[in-house]
Amino acid sequence: MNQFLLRYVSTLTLCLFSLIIIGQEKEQYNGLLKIGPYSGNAKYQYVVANGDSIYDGPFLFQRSNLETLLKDQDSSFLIKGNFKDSRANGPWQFQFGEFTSESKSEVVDFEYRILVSGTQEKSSGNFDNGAPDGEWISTIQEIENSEVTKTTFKSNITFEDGVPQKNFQIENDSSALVGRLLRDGMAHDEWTSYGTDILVDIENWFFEEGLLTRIKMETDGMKKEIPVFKSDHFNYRTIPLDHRFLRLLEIQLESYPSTQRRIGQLISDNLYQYEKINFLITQLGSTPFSPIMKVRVPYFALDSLQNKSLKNIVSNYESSSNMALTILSNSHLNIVKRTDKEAAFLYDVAKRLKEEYLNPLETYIELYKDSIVPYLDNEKITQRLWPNGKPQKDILIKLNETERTFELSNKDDFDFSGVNLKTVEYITDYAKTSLTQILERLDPKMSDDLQMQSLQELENDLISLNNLLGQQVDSLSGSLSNPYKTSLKKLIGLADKNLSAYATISNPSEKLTYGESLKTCLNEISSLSTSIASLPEKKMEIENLYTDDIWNPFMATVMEEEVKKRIVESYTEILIPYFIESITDTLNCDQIEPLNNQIIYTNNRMVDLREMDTRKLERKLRRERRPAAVLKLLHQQVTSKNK
Amino acid sequence: MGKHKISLFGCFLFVCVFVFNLHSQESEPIELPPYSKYKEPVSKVWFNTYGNIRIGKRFFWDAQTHFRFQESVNTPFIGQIGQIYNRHAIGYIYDKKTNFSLGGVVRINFNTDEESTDRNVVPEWRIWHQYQFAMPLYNAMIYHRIRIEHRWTQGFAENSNYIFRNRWRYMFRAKIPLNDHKLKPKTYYISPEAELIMQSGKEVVASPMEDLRLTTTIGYIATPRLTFAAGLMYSQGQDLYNGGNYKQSWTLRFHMYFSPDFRRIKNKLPEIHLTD
Repeated sequence: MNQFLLRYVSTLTLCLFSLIIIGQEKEQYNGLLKIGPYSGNAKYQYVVANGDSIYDGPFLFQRSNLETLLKDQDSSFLIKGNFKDSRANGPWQFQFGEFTSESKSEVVDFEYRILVSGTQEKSSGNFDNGAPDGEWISTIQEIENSEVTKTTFKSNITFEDGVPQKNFQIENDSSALVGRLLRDGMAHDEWTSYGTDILVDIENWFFEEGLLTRIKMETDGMKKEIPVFKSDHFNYRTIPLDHRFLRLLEIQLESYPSTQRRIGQLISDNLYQYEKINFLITQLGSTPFSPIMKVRVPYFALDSLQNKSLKNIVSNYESSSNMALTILSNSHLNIVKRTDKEAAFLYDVAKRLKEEYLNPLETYIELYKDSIVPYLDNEKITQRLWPNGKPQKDILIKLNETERTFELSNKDDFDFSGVNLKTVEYITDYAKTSLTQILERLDPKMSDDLQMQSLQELENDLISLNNLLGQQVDSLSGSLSNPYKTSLKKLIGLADKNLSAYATISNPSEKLTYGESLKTCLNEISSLSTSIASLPEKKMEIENLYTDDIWNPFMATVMEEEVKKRIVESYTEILIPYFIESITDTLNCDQIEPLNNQIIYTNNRMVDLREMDTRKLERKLRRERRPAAVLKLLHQQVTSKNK
Repeated sequence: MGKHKISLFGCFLFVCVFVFNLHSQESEPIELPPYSKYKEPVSKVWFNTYGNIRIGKRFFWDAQTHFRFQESVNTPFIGQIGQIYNRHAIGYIYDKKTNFSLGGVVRINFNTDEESTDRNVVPEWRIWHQYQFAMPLYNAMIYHRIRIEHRWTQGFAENSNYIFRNRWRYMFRAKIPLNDHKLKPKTYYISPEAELIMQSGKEVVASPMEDLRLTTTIGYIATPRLTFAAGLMYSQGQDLYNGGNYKQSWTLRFHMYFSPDFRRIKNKLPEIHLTD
């Protein structure tokens, strides 16, 4: 009997023990979650490992708001799936909706159904250990009165272990694309786009193991074949079929401007859908999610000299653009040039330099920044940069009846004759040198002395004010507790931010106006930080003020008694935290003075209220926890008293 | 100064007791038992309220109402109502630690003897004056209270006459804060006290020690104006008519102390600077 009991107890203990272990493993979260622009209710399981919480188990994140739907428009979303050890695993569904309602409803089985109209985007498919696996379908549908009226986008892509495979299909409301991929995700063979209404192929892309060799298209019965990338290039690189490739293609096809690139549009639409999911899934800590279709493109390796030229081109371009902007946007110069011929001449030269030298380079610089340049044949590109011929070194300006020419004295040092990066470098260098000279010559005319002088004084003031503020905060925050210190730091940060904003303004008159307001702002920040730093002391003063010494006859002892407790609590527990929070939350210069006035008013008011009949106020304060309402109540008494 | 007063008063007390003892020997012979006889202790429950109502800068109204229950044959422990006790006085605050009072008491005595055929209720009258001194000692406070009462009592028997006695009371009490360094609101305190009540008068022959009360209470200061306390008191004393018999009792005591101040705000301040 005893043995039996022992066995029973030990089994029970074991069961309990294992239950505890399981219980420790997974925890459940149910509450608010914000991921980028998406905020809603989340419900998921997670485990805590090394202090990190790791998603593990079912995951649900959604938002829909009936109130905003009925009032105006609601953006809803629903994200549902499973995690295994922080990676997406199993079936997933992403759904985004923009709906309006005309307040039409139906009653079905004791449920009210509200009919909605709008668009719904939906993507669903399977993940295997973070990688998409199997068929993924994305759709965009138009909904009217809760019924699908039109599918404006649909893509089907099959993945195997994260790599898109086999055939895929992407369609929008006017055309559909069917394409093939190799086992490694490389584009291959013929990609065909049909018009959804007429069912004839209108655009075909021909890939040879990732290399897009030609495009065939038919518009209005006219057949056209465009060669794209040559297959006899010596160097190729494999890149993802993404926006960069489409941009590259666009440049490649620049000489065929009339083409409607349907396939490109479809691919781009699909990328947009996948990026949305990729954003969410990477934010949730899983591995990146993208179709990763691959293509091969010719690669034009740049030697070190070319790389150097490229860098110089970009830096020349940027400094020239800045100088041109400084000259062309200077308001004072704009006035002066009406009467000053020299100024007018130089102004026009700067304008011509910008138009003829710099503007044509704009796209090229963008390509550089997108890292597309190495895939471009630079010789071809440089030829195309100035389709109407390279700019002239002599810039002829006509002013009224007279003509004047601008040229650099050492213009022969700049060789514009070649067709390579070095030539482009010379051209940008010429622009830069010219603009530097022009700026030097214009400088005295660009701002009047008086303005400069007042700016100088203003800047001195600003700097000393900022230094003072720093010292003041340093000395004030010594004995303060953390929330106070944080808010003082925040104020210093605000001052710094505004000073840097001031520094970036180039126009002197704007600078002057902004600087004057900044000076006021710095002064206000300084008074606010004094008010904030004095709050702990003020709090104590007020608490003392609201404490009576009462002589207790039974104890023959003097005791402290808090009076008007409700008022003091409103001040210490609602208003002071509110003041601190107002600073830490959001703040710009406009809010500083009102906040400071509010603090000062409240402090004084607290002193006044001690002697006043406040029974009514205390009654009202008992129910009020909102800072704004409490402040209003404190103000209110004055008006009632004044009456 | 305080101590001086007390010692003077002690001498006075002693002399009085001595004189009355002498005096008693002239009265009827008393058969004292060979040994002192202690009766079985009686259990009692007291509910006491103490009011101290400020009526001026230096004056207060001392208002106390007590309900005293005493066990009887049919109702043990809490018993039945024995006395309702109304004590009032006008007090004078000499300083924060010293005050004096003068006033009257009406006590309604109920006959707790269920077998008795006598009257059920008789009044009792007193004139009293009191001198109270407080002294701080470390965290605690100690108090000396001298209370003198002139008392007219009568028995429950029909047409019984009033007899007159004087009572001489000295109480020593301490209040020691338990959860704070001083007596202040939200503090519990413990209060041991001892009070000796002597009596004198024509009828007091061999029983000068009316009562010796030893009490311990635990109190809680809710606000400066309101305190609650509860405690247990043991007392013993000589029977009036036979000094050889000693009564004993155990009393549960529940106290509420309140000290409202209805004066207008501007008259209240300053609360403490009495001698400014």
